[in-house]
Amino acid sequence: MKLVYYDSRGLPLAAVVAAIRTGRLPQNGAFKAAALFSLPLINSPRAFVYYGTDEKKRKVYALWCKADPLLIPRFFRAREELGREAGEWFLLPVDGVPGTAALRIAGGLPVPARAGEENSSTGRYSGTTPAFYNLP
Amino acid sequence: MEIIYHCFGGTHSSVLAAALHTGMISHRRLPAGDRLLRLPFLDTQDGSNHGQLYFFGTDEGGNRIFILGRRRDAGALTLILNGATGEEPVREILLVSAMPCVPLLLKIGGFISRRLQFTRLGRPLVLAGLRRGYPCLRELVYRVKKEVAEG
Repeated sequence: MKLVYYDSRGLPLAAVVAAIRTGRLPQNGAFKAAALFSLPLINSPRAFVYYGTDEKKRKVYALWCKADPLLIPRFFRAREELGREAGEWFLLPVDGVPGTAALRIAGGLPVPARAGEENSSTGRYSGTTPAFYNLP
Repeated sequence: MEIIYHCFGGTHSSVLAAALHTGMISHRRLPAGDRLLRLPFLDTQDGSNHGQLYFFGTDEGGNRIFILGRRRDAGALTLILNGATGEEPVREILLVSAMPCVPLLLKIGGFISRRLQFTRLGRPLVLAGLRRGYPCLRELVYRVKKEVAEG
């Protein structure tokens, strides 16, 4: 299975999420701007980048490009049909993420966890996968 | 090789280009309107078909020809089908935009026929637009075939 985080608004948020998923950026959100800007093609207005593998050895990709959100899954389906890679791509949109969550991640601030994930002693995010990029 | 002709709606210029490529219509002369309208997918698709890949036929070299409507998102289509940066493409794919050959008349006719569903009013404009875009599409297909043949 290949995981693709995509942002149809053209924001490189998908790159940040893919970087966290593959361990290039820490999950607790404590990273510096330099680490963020060293991610591949982060300054590009659109890109489709392979980021590495996650803890379950699944390939992780990031795609950001200003496009109709309906068309991106269909283009992937077209790719699957052409490449005989049926069912290989698992698409995870990040463009529905609220702006504050995006800013928290991009700015290196702690990410609020889902109910039950918050560390009760510190009141901060416990370090497990945040809700919006958790796999179903 | 897979060759994909794409345009806004995947129902006019890309269909004519694919028909020219597969030899379904002549390179010498554009057929009459009623014969054009019998081409598969011509002026039949709507918004719900956008982004879906349709097999059109095979050319003399065994290349498979497809059509696709991608609205204004040619950039996203190219990114996704060409593959991720740093990875080899899965198959040899040639993406050809038919949009540079679309005259204003065809855009207006297509909008009236497909978007507004006024087929009776839109189709004559579509046919006139296809007639106007035909020389450009013929040239486009010629260049694509040459490129494919040269590898």
